[in-house]
Amino acid sequence: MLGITIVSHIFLVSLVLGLAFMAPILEYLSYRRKDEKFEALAKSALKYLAISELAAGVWATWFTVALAGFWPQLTFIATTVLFYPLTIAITGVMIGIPFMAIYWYTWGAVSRRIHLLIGVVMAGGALLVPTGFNMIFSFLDDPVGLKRALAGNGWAVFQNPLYPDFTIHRISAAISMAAMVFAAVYAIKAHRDHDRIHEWASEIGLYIGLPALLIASITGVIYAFLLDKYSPYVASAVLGPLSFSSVATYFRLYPAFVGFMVIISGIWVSAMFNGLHKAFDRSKEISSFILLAFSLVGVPYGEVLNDLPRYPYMVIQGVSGIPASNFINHWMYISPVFAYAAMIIGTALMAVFSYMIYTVLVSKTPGKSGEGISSGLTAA
Amino acid sequence: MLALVNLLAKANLAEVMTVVGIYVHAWFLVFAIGLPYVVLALEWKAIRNKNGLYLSAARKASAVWGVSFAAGAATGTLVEFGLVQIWSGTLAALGTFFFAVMYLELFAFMTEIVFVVLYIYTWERFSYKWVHWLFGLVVLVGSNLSALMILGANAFMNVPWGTGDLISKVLPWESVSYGPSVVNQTALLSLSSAMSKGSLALASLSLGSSLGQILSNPMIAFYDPDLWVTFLHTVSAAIIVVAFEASSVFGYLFLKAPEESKAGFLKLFRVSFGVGSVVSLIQPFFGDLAGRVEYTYQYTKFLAAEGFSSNGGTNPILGILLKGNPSYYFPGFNQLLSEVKASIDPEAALATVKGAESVESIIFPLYYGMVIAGILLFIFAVLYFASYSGALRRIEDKVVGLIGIDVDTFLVYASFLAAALALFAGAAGWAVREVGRHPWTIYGLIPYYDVVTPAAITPVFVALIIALELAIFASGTAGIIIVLRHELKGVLKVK
Repeated sequence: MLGITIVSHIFLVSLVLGLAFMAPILEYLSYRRKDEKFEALAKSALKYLAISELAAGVWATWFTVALAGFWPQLTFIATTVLFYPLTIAITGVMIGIPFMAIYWYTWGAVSRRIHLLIGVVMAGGALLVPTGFNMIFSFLDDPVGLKRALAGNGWAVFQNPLYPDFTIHRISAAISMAAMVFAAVYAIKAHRDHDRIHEWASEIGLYIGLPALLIASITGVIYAFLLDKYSPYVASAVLGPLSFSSVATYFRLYPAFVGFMVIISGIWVSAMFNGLHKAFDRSKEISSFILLAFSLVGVPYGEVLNDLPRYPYMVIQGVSGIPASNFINHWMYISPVFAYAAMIIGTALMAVFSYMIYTVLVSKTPGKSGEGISSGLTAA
Repeated sequence: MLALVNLLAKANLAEVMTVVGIYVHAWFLVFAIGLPYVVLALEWKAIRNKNGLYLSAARKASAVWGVSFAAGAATGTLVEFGLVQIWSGTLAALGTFFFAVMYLELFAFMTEIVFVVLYIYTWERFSYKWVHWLFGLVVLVGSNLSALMILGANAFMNVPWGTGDLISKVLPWESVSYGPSVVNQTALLSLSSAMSKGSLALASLSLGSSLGQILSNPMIAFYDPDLWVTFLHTVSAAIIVVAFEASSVFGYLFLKAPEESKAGFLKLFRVSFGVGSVVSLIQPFFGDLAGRVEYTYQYTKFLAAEGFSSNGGTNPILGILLKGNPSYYFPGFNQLLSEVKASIDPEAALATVKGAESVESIIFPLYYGMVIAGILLFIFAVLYFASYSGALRRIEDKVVGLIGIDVDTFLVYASFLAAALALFAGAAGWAVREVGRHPWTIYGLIPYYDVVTPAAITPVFVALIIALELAIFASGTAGIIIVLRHELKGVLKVK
C-alpha cells in the first residue's frame, strides 16, 4: 500500500512541479512578446496542472494516513527528526495550492503583472515541497543527524551528503518530465492538426525540458557515486556489478537499472530527434509517442528503483539497516482488508476520476485546445 | 519538575500557532460544508422554476468553491501536519482510536474532490438538468461525511468512548461509563505513563512491541455519542454561517442595485436567507443535545461554560432541562476537589479541576455569547418565515415601518448582523469546546503537553508560522472576494 501510494504520488507531484514552472514561464513569454498564443499555452499547462494537483493531493493524504495508521512510531520519528525539512515542505503546500487556485481564478480578473506575480509565488511554493520532502528519502538511505535531531538539533539532518544532489536531481527530473510530456503531446497534436500554436508548444516544451534533462542526468550519475559511498546496501542492490561495494542484498535490481537506462536514453534520443527534426511529420509523431511514453514512465520507474532496494529494511545504515517490521503498528490489529480496500478503492476512484476529468476537461471542453479550463472558468 | 515546566512552555507556545491554524482552516472549511446547501438550493429553484436568474447565481456562487476548496485543502494539510508534526504524540491515537475515522475520511475526501470538479465544470452539459444537481448532492454528501470522520477524532478527544470505566478511575466525578471497554486499560495507562515524560518516549521501538494491543475495536469511534451531536451541531453552524454570508452578499447587491434590478436580488436573498433560517430554527435542538453530552461526560467543562461558582449552585433552566428539577444543586469545583484523592492519578484529577476553573472567565462569556447569538438568529428566522404570511407581514411592516423601512429591507440589514453573529457563534463554540478541555488532549488520558513534539519550538518559528497562516488567510480570502466580484458582475442580466 505504501509503495503504490508513494510511486503514484511522486509521479503526480513531478507533473505538478514541472507544470507549476511552465505556466508562469509561458505567461511571461506571452507578456514579453505580446503574443496571446503563449497565454493559451500557459492556460493549457495550468489545466493539466490543476488535474495533476487534485490527484496528487489525494495520494498525499493517503500517504499520510497510511504512514500514521500503519507505522505510527516511524511517522513520529520522521516528524521529529525531519521537523525542519517537513516544515519547509508544508510551507510549500500551503503556498502552492491556494496560489494555484488564485492564479487560475484571477486570470483576466487582475492586471497581468499581478497575475504573473501570483504565478511566480505558485511556482515558488511548488519548489519548496520537494526541497523539504526529499530529505525523507535521503534520510532513509543515510540517516545522518538522527541522534542529534532527537536530542533537539533539528538542523543536523541537513548535513546529509545525499540530500543536495538528490534534491536537484528530483526537481530537474520533474521539470524535465512535465516539459517533455508537454512537448510530446503538442508535437502529436501538431502533426494531426498542423496548428502552428501546437508546434510552438512542442518546441517550448523541449527548450525547457532538455536543459532540465541534462541537469537530471548529470546529478543522477553523481547520485550513483554518492549512494555507493554513503549507502552501499542500496547501491549494491541497484547498480550490481557497476557498484564499487559488494553487499549481499535482498533484491538484485541491476537488470531493472539497465531498463531504466534504456528509458532515459530513449527520452534523450527522442527529444533530440524532435528538436533537430523540424517537420511535424509521421516520423516525428512516432518519436513523440516514444518521448511521451518514456517521459511518463521515467519518474515512477526511477522511484521504484529508489525505494525497492531498501527492502527488507526501512532505514539503511551502511551495509545493513533497521527492518521495516520493527516500525509496524503493534497497538492495534489492522486487518489486511483495510490495506487491500484502500488500494482497490483508491485506484478505482482515481481511474474514474482521471477518466471523468479527461472527458470533461480535455475531450469535451468547448473551443480550441489551450482555452480548456480557463474558458470554462471564465464562463463559470 | 523542570522537564514538565519546559514541556508546558513549549506546548503553550505551539498552542498559539495551532489555534490560529485551526481557525484559518475553519474559515475556508465552512464554505466547503455550507456552500453546497446554498448553491444546491439555488439550482433546485432554477430547475424547478426554469429560472435563469437562480441558475446564474448558483453557477457563479459555485465558483467560490474552487478557491475555498483549494485554501481548505492547503490549510487542511497544515492542520494534518500540525497534528502529526507539532503534536506528534497524537500519533499514538492516530495508530489506534483515530485510525478508522481517518482512513474512511479518505474516501469521503476523494469523492468530494471528484465531484466538486465535475460539478463546477459541467454546468449546462446535460440535457437532463437534475444530473448536474445530483453531482452537487454527492459533493454535499462527501463534504459532510468528511466532516463526520474528522469530528470522529475530535469527539474521541472530548469523550474517549470505548474506555469503559477508565476515565472515572482518573476523574472520579465522571461516574458514568464511556461505552463498552474495548481497550487494554493496563497498556493504555502504561502508554500514558511513558508519555508523561514527553512524547519522545514514542521514539523507542520497544515501547511499540512491549505494550501489546491497546485497542480491540477500531470502529469504536463511530459509537461515540459526542460524535453525532457534534456533527449535527457543527454542520448546522457551517450552513448558517455560509447561508447568512451569501445573504449578506445578495443583500448588499440588493441595496446597491438600480430599482429595476432589486426584485431579482431579493429573490436570491430570500433563498439563501431561507436556508440559514431553516437551520437556525433547528440549531437550538442540536445545541441542547451537545450540552447534555457535555454535562454527562465533561462535567468540569460544563461547570466552566455555565459560569458556576466554585461552590456550585442552582440554575432553574438547567435544572429543569437536565434533572427535571429547578432547584437541583449542581456541585461546584470545590466538591470535585474533595473527590480528587479517590483518583488513581490525583495530580491529573487536580489539574483537570484547576484547568477548568482557570478558563472559566474565558469560556463562560464565550459560551453565553454563542447562546445569545443563536437566540438572535432564531428571532431573525422567525421574522423571515412570518414575512410569508400576509397578516404577519403587515404587522412586521408596521413595526419596522417605524424606522422607515419595509420588512424585506429590514431582513437585508439583519443579514449583515446575522453573518457576523453566525461567525462569532461558530468561533466561540469551538473555543469553548477546545479551551474547556484544558489541560487534556484526550480527556482524562493524555494532557496536551505530553504530546507536543520533542523538536525545538522557538518564538521565531511560531511567529513565522503564524505569519504564513495569516498570509494564507488573507490571500485565500482575497481570492474569494476577487472571484466573487468577478463572477457576480452582471448576475442580474440573465432573464
